[in-house]
Amino acid sequence: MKWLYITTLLFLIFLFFNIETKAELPVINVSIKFVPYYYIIISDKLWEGIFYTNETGAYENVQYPLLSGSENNNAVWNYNRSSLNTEYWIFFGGNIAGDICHGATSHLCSKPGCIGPDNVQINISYAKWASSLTNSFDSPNIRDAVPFVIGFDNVHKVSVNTQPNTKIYLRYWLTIPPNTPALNYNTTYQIRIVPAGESCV
Amino acid sequence: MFKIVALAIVLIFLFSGIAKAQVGIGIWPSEIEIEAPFLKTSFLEIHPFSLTEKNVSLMFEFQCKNCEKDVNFFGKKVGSFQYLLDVEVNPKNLEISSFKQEKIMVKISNPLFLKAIFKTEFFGKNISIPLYLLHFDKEKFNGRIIATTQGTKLAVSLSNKISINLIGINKLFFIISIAFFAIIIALIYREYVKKIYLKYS
Repeated sequence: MKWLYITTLLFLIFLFFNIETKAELPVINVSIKFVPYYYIIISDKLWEGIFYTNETGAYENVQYPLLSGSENNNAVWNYNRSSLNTEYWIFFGGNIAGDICHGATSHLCSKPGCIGPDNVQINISYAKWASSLTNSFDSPNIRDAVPFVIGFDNVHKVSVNTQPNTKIYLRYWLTIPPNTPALNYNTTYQIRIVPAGESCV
Repeated sequence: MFKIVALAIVLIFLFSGIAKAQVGIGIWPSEIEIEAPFLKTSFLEIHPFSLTEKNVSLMFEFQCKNCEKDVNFFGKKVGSFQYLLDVEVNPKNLEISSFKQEKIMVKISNPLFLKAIFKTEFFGKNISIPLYLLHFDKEKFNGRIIATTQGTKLAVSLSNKISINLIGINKLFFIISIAFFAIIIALIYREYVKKIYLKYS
C-alpha cells in the first residue's frame, strides 16, 4: 500500500502547487498612471424636464396648453427669449471619449404607468429632437430632427465619440395628432452615457 | 502661489451659483479589466461622484453583455447558454452629497461551477434547463455597472465597461487529475480484489 500513499501525496502536492500558481495572478489589472473617468453636467432647464408649449409660450418661455393637431410645438426653453439660444445642453468631461444616448421609457401617457382603460397615449415618435455642437437660433435645427424611441436610441445617438470638454446642445419638438383629448401626457426622459463605441442598450 | 490662486478661482467658480443650478455626476474607473482567480472572490471599487450642490440618488446594477452564448452541435445551433455570473454590487442604492465621491464595491466570485441556463426549443416549446458548468482556462465576459439617477424627472445613467476574465481549471491539469483519480481508483480496486482473493484462498 506504500506506493499508493506516495502517489496520493504526490498528487496532493501537485494540486497544492497548481492552486498556488493561480492565486498569484493579479486581482485588478488597472494602470495606476491612467485612471479612466468621465462626468457629465446637465443644464438646469434640462434637469427640470422637457415641457412642450405653444408658439406664444415658446417666445415667453412659459408652458401653455397645446392644441390638438398642432405641429412641431417647441419645448419651453428651446429658444431663450433674450439670447434665442437653447437652454438644453449636456457637458461631457473626463479623460476618455464617450457616447451619449437618450430615449423615453414609454409613449406619452395620460395615466401613470400607461395603465387603465381610460389611458390615452401619444406615440413617442411624435416627439422629435436635434442636437448640435453649436448653440444659436439655427442650431440645433428642426431640419435635423429625429423621432424619439422607447428605450435608448442606439442608432441615432445624441453624440458619438464625444471628446472631453464638449458641450452638446439640444432642442425638442412635439406634434399633437388630430383629435387628441386635452389631458396631461407624461413619460420619463432618459439619458445614458457609455464609453465610446459601446452599445447603449 | 499662482497655482493656489488659480485653484481658488476655479473653486469659487465651481461653488458659485453657476454650479448650483446644474447637475453633474461622474464615475471612475470608466473602463476596467479584472482577472478573477479560480475559486476566489475578487473585489472592484467603482467611484461615483457629484459635481453640484444637489444631492443625487443613484441605483447601481450589473449588466452582462455577452453572457448568452450559442450552443452548436455539428455546426448547427441547438440552443444557447445564459451564464448567470455571481457578481454583486454593494450598495445597490446610494445618495451622493454635493461635491462628494462615494465608493461602490463589486464582488466577483469565481466558483468551481458556473451557473447557467440552457435554453432550447423542443417541438415548438421553449425549454430552460438550469445547469452548473465547469469552466476551463480563461473565459472572458464583458459587462458594465450602470448607475441611474432615482426620483428625478430626468433619468440619467452612467455606464462603465468591465471585462471579467474568469480563470477556470487548466485543461491539462484537469486531464492529469482525472487520470490520477482513475489510476488511484483502479489501484484501490485491484488491492480490494487482491484482499478478497487472499481472504477466501
